[in-house]
Amino acid sequence: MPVLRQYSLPYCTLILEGLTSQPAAMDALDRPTLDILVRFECHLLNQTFALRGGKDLLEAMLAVTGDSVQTWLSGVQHRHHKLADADAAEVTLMPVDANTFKLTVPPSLLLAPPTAAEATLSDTGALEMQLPLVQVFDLVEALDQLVADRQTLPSIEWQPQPLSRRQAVAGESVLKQTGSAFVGIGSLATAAALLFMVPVPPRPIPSPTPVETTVPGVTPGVTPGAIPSPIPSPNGQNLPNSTPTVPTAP
Amino acid sequence: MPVESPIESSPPLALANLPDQELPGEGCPRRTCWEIDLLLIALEALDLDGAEAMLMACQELQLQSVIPHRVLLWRLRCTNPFRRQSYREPLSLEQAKALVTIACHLARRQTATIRQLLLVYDQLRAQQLPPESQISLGDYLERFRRHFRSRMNLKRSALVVYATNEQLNELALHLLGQLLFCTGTAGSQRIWASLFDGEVI
Repeated sequence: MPVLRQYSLPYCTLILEGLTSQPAAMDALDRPTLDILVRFECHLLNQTFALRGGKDLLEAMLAVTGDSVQTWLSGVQHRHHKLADADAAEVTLMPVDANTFKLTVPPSLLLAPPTAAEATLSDTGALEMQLPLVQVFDLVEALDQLVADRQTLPSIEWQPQPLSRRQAVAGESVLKQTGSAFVGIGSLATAAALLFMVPVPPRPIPSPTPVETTVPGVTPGVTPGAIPSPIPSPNGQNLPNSTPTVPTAP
Repeated sequence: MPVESPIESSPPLALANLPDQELPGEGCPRRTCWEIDLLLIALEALDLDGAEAMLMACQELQLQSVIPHRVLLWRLRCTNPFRRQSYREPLSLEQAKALVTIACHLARRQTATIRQLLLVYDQLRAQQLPPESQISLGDYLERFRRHFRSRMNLKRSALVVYATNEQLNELALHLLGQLLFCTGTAGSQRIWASLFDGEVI
């Protein structure tokens, strides 16, 4: 007897059909465990095409929604996603702008791939859908409820893990990271340019030193006929033309 | 004869679903403190009584052993290095878990409001109208800008990118989306993991 599960949110409904490994003779009120997934459907409101596939599609959706949402939340991208080109055989969920995501599903994961008349297709034939943020949340929440339901595919487990330093690529652009350094260098350069324009103070020209010549009857350094200026005494006495020195306290 | 044995204090049950992270240094990284504070500021912008609601949530979630009073709650938020008054003491993992749990608890109460604001924003964008065109969304953005400018040290070069109203609006709307994911079944785990992206060993 097939087992059906449905997880409904306003913008997304997941339907799972599968088989149980439990014996048939069980209480009718017991909720059977869905152990084997036969069909998985994802209905997104306002989208022209419903996603129908198997366990591969479900597991791909779980993986991509987990990684993409975590990248959007933190702004830190996985290094593997940065370097590798988008694989046409993988489900991708990429932010288009602040509030919109693009979901891409390859036809290989769909039971009945859509035609160009039924849905928007990429160059590689993958199905493309533009999802608003609220719809992405509903999709993620429906998948989380599925994972949390231990009676639906109990083998599927998912626990968000932060990216390690080696796995992560800085989410900020190089410009943002080095912005403060550029501001500092720019201000230093501006200050240097302004100081360069300040004129250099003129260098004082030293007065020429008098040439000492020995003339009989004239004291060296004294102009003949000039009155010699008094030399201050070492004991600090007030003398004309001398500044009195104040003895400092010991 | 009763034997007195010391009862080991167990961590609060509300924090049990958030795993410990292997960090290189003591306490949480700067980015983690910054983002937690921003989430709480966004919640205060959504709910006028947000600050009191955080204290009530501490009691409801039995987190008094981690955050016993409002002063410590304020000090923990001031570990955000970009605040005007910022404290250098590290934010411990247990304290960070408590703040994230409180944020998710309060976000779930505001689920309908958050969804409505985001749907309104989508409609305004489709009509090429500014987000302030709608009263509720405009009020949220205006309160967020006011809280941000009054609490952050705007002289920091890293905050130059939030100088204009448009840039702060963009930040506020991104935080609204983050709060939406906080309301989910695994919301607290998702937010908790994203806070340490690129920081763990």
